[in-house]
Amino acid sequence: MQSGICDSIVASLGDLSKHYGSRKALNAVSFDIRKGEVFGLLGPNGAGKTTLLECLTGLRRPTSGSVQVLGHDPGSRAPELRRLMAVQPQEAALFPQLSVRETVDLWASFYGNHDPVDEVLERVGLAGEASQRVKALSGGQARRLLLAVTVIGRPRLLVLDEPAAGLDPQAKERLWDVIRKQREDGGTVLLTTHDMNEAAELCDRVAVLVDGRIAACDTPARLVSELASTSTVTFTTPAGTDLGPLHALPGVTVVEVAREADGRRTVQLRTTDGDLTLRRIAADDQLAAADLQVSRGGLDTVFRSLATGGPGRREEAPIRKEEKE
Amino acid sequence: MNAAPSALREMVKTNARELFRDGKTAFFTVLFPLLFLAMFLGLGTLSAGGSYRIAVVDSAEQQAVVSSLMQVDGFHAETWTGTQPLSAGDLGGYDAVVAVSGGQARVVVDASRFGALKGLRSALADSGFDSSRTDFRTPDGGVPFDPLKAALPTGLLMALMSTAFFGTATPLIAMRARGTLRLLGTTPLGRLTFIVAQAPVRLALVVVQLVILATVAVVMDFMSFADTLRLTGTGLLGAVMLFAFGYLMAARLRNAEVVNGLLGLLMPVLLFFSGLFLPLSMLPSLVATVSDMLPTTYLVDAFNHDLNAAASVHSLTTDWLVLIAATVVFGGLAARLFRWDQGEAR
Repeated sequence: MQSGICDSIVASLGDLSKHYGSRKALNAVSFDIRKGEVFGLLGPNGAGKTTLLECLTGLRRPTSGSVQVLGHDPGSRAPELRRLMAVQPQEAALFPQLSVRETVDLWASFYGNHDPVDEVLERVGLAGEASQRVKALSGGQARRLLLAVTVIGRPRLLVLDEPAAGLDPQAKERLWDVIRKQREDGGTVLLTTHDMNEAAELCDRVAVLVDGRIAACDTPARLVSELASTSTVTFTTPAGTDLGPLHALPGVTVVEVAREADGRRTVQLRTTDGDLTLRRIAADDQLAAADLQVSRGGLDTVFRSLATGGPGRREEAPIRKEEKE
Repeated sequence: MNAAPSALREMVKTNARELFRDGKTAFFTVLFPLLFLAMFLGLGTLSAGGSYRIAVVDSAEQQAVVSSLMQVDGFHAETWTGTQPLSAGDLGGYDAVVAVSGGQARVVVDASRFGALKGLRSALADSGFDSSRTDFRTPDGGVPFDPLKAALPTGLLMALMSTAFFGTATPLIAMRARGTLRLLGTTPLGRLTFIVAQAPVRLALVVVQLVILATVAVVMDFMSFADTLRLTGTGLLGAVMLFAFGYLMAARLRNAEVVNGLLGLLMPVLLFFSGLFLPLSMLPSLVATVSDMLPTTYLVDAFNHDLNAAASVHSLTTDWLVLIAATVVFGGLAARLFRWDQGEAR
């Protein structure tokens, strides 16, 4: 049983801390990444995401705590680990004088077992630019080439640091396809992103890192249901309507006038029970409400809430710890 | 699945492409030293004109040497039958005196009339006295300044330094600054493979530079063809030593602009302290002491064995041993200190 669980864990961080002088970039961070999942690492700028990735990839030694990736200590820079894990940093220039194909050929030569170069170029959408020099690529094309050299060696763990930054919507779709294919092929992906839509779309689980600590770690759906349980109800009403009674409605926490134009107001309510609030407003003749809409909170609501020190810091850790024990 | 091409072979090809496809790097490593040499050769050729009176001391070869000298424009060669002025330092009003004995030609030339050197060397070679069988001296026993001859070791050392510094250290540091080394450090590519892969294209470049310089030296009668092998050996030892120093510079630094500025300053300082601009005997003892501690001094000395034998101070064995020792020290330090990235854990 225990062996099976250990086999299913690709990376494990235990009380990982990294200090730069008196500044704690990472403070007792613990989580596991499971085989075959896309794990998202979210957090505001300066939260410690890049430092965490650097510790995980062996580019920095932690001050304390433990890191294990695919059974290795990344700090040892074991060649075996570097064959099994590929890293796409946030920014890295490739050889400017090489062509796109020459670049991927070079990276392919580092691995005994790799995907066909043409297939990878097709996958990242650079087949048409194969003979173009790297220095002539646009920012988005250069990022796609970085992705190509990252996936060419069929890594078991793919680490992507903000891979979608600077990509147009079409290129972003291709990136997502590459990530999904990695998962379909049994690989694991760790990605950092500021795009909550991307995280919700791709990630099986996410961890939110705030001020060097894990503020929450779970599936996007569970985080949303537990931490973004409020809904927003929007409607219009004639200007001058008394909004006072709205505060007394059950579950309503905030009442705001978002806009006023052409003799009508756009009103937004935050409520813990969107359906009930919607029914009450629709039934209230004095409000004369029109254009009624209700929207539920998403991962971005969770992120904003956690990043600003809002309600409900939570970790999924207890379940996992029980499993491991 | 696929037959993986060798990482070393691909890295070697990458280095060649990066070096030759980048116009700036190619200029500083290939063209700049050759332009420098061409400038000196041009100056030497310009100074070669004028009218010279040359005495040839009585010997069996006297007439043959006079005939050869008379073929040179501006040369007026005469036979000399009087007392040899060579030891007295008195040229008796001549610009140069040539004495042949025991298969060797000894030439004493007025230090201010160095424009005659090229013609003298060429005429003596035509008479069967190539560079290995001639000895040029000033009346006081010193070595006459020959801009052409002085340019060869200088040009050669500049070529090697440019290749090692601007063609090796600078691109590596730029790669670190751009994050390329950091990315490579996350792949299975080994440090040693990466470093070794830098060498072939650069050594090939050095061989080309050596061939060009040696060809010039042989054509100009500064050295015999047989000596070119030894010069190539010295050049390769010197190149490897300078590459090791270049790697050492590139082991940690990440600001290519600052390093370029430093290297731009370092090159003339090294050339000066290695005795290339002025003979060390003319410099203060403190400079000589510093010079003795620089491996480049021994590289220049080793070049002088083939290009300007009279100016060499140490034995060639000593020079080569110092170069090998410096290579081991610089190379060992570079391998120990090299980081893919500044924050890399070890």
